[in-house]
Amino acid sequence: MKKSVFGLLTIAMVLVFSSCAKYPQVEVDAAKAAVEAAKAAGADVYLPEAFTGLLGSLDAATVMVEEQKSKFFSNYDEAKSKLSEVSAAAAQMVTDTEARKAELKEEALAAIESVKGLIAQNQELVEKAPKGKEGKAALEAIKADLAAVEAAVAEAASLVEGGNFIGAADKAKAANDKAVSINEELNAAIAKTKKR
Amino acid sequence: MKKFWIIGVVSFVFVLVIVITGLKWHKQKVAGENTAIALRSASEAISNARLRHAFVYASSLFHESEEMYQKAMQMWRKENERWYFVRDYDQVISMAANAEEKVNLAIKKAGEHRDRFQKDFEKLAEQLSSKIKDFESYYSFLPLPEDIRNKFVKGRILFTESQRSGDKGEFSKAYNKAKDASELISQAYDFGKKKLNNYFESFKNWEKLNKEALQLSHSRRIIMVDKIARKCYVYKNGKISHAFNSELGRNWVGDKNKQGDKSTPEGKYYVTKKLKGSQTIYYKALLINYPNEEDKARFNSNKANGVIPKTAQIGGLIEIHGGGGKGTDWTDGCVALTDKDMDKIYPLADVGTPVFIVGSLVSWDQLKTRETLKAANDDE
Repeated sequence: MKKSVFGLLTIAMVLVFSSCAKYPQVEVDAAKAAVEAAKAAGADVYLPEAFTGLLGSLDAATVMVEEQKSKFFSNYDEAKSKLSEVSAAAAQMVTDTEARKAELKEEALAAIESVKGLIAQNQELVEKAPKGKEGKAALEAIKADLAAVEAAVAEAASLVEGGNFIGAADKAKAANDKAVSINEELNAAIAKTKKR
Repeated sequence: MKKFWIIGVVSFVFVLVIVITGLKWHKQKVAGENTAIALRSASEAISNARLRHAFVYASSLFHESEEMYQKAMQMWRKENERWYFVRDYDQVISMAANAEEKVNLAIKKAGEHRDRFQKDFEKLAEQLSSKIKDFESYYSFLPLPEDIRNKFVKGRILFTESQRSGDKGEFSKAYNKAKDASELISQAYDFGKKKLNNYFESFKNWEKLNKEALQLSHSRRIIMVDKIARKCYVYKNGKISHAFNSELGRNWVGDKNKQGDKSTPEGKYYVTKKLKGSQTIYYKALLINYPNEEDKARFNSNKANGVIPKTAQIGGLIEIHGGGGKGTDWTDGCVALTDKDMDKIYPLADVGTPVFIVGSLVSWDQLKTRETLKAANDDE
């Protein structure tokens, strides 16, 4: 009798203390580290929507892990699989972010080159444009405008160096718009002089 | 009998333990499930808030809710470390519910703030577009200091950047950039507006001079220069008989104060000498009597009042001359016409022909009703 009671209690104790599967700490840490790496690569800036989705997936996976942990009989298989998905997606996001950054960098550099080309062209046009009585260029206004565009281009270039490719592309494109309008203004002034 | 009672009591206790354990197990299971539901719901709300940029538009509320969520997760983990039957999830559920409530509030506030930023940005963008248009139409042709033009162009570039942010739906960024642009553009705009308003304070005097010129033209030919219109007219019998495009001194806004100020004088003058061939480097020229008595009096008064330096000279040799058609204001204060137009005006003028120079023949309001000054100039 004593033996059977002892046996039942032993079974109960075994069930209570050894029913839990191993907590997937390694997988949790790996997924968190992968998401941090994606953030460090700039995914939150360059792929904001995808990164928001990734954070949501990580949160959902950690909830799944704790949900299993809170159960009497834990089974982490699904949570582990979700955590692996998060890690893989985060790793992919690092690659995608780098590709997007390279794309935007190229775009910003192309915009900078385009403005520089227009500035050079405008400077040539300034030389051809109507000159002053004392041989000095009488186009101070346009020159001041060009100087401001040049300053914006320099700012865009420093943003590229600082790794802010979105800001750089926006600034370079805005400077490009102004350089185009100066170009049109100069060409109109020259055409007007020729007409006369 | 005694044995039977012992077995009975032990069995009862065993069954009681099993029943209590079962009930407790069920209670813990339900509590665990409810905790997971609460945390999952809060997590989904946070994801939703992130998608709606609550971290930008309701930053503090969002971060507070995120912290509460993380705290709830920590509490859940801690509770899960305890023995199964003594775990208590009430606080975790309560914290998760608070986090969700807060994040939902953040979503609501973010929506409101985003709408407000969008409206403010659109309003500011409209104001700025109008200021830019006015500046480019009315003030950009004025001789403005380099720093003022620089501010305008910098502001213009910043405004284009803000519009790009607006196109991407980043209204907070767009609004802040537009605000920076507004500061720069407004400084240039206000400067230009003030300069032109001050200039047009002399309009009554210009009107008076024009009346006098028209009256005089009944007895003789008159030359009238309208600086803003960049026109040089010949009046005859109270009407315009000839109209020529003209170019002025580089700093043409305002009356001439001293030698070297690159300004074209304003007032009533007359031709003192007709020059051509080797007498002038500008093909043909009509020299006028600047400075007249009025100019001399004003020059002396300005000198006495410290408006101009004591060493300043009044200048002279103001002419209506050829060499024009450069499409810009380039002279040191003279009125330049094309050589072709000089051929036309030269025989119409004699020594003694009155020459009136005014800022404008029409008021600023009339000028503004014209499409734009720039367009008017471009048509020339």
